[in-house]
Amino acid sequence: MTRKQQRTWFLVGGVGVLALATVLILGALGDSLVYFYSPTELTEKAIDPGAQIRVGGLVEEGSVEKGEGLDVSFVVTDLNESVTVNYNGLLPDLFREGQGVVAEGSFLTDGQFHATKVLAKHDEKYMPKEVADALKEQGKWKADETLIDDSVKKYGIDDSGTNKGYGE
Amino acid sequence: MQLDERIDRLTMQRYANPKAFIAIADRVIPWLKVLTGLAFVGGLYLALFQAPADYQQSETVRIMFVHVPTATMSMMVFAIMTTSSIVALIWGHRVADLFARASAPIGAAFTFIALFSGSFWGRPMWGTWWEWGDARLVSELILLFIYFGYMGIWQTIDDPIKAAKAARITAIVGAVNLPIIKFSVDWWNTLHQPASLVRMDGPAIHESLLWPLFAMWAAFGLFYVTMALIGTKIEILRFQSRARAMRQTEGV
Amino acid sequence: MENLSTFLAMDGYGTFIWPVYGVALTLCGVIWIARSYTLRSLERAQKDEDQAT
Repeated sequence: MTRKQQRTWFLVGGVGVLALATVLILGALGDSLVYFYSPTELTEKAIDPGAQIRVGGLVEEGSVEKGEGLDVSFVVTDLNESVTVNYNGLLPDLFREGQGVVAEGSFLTDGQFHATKVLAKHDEKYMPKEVADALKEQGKWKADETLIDDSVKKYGIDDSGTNKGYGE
Repeated sequence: MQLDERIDRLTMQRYANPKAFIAIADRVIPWLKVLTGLAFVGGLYLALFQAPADYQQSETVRIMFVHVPTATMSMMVFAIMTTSSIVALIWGHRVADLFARASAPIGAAFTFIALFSGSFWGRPMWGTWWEWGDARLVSELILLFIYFGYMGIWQTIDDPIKAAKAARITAIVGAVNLPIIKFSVDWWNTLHQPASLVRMDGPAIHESLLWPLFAMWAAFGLFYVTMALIGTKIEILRFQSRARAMRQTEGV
Repeated sequence: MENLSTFLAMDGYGTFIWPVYGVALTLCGVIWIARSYTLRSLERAQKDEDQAT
């Protein structure tokens, strides 16, 4: 074997070991790399009251209720399960009904979610207002699919791509 | 001489030769400077004056024209440094080491701009400057530290041969972070949005916002190529003057 | 003048947009100037050395 071949095999071996190690480490870290859980995941997990977690999904259309002062409540849904969130504080500019949201806080004993922080989640779509309006008019509007539960994606979305029972 | 070694000589030697590299660099650098300048003027005009406001994000969509090109380039530059380091490791080419070295500060600058612009977009849109729990944000920050580590190696190790060896390994090992950054938004739930351009159904960015983005991409891309060539030439000249000084002191 | 201030305000997001462009262009500008300057002084030094020998 020439020196060059030796170096090449050393490199291939090294990179292989490195890649394997990375996959194992990331696998071991698992859940701690997940930023939020969907409402469906939360009902499966049975989270203890008081435990700090983040729940992410779509703000259900028509669910936002403003109370006194900065009190606000809304429903986070993945169209399969949903969680009612209570919050007292300022909402980010991107917070809208039908759009993505992540709420950080904990469940109270009565099963309601009390948020200490509410962040808006943006989807991957970028377009001028006129284009968005036109899409909505034509019924071609799609909600952020990454936030919709897989079970609903299979059955709940018709051929045109709009969600049955959801949207405008 | 074995056949593969002969092919190596034909294809690689030409670019590995510092004299040939400088000759090519001298010819293209003035043109690249002009092109970079023009791309920035055009890109900024499109980004600040021509692009419409977004239906959701309003005017803050203009931050994307800086954020997306610098963020993708921050990974691209590191991938180029890794490739360059592999070439240097296998064929032992000096210029490939120096090219990787000259690329690092530009990659670090792109990473910083990506983090900064992301933060200034996240504050008004998400409602937070920074989230430690987000895999995309944290892996991009780790990239910045890897760049600093790589640059630190060249700074602290005096012997250029030893420094080059340590730097090559850092660039190759550090590359494991690149797929983690890229796919973090697919592998885990993140606050950061998934990819807009490279996706199954085609880009999710409207044309009117796509052209300013491409123009800014061209500007940052040309900026990198120009600065990396100038930087490599600087490193070659430094290397040569150092070698000359050593020869003089030894009286050879 | 009113046009300019509306443009700079960026629908209320000017305080977030302008620092991003400012930092990006300043950083790129500094790298550009520093590298061009270093290269020029190195080339000059090399020319002097060549003449000396």
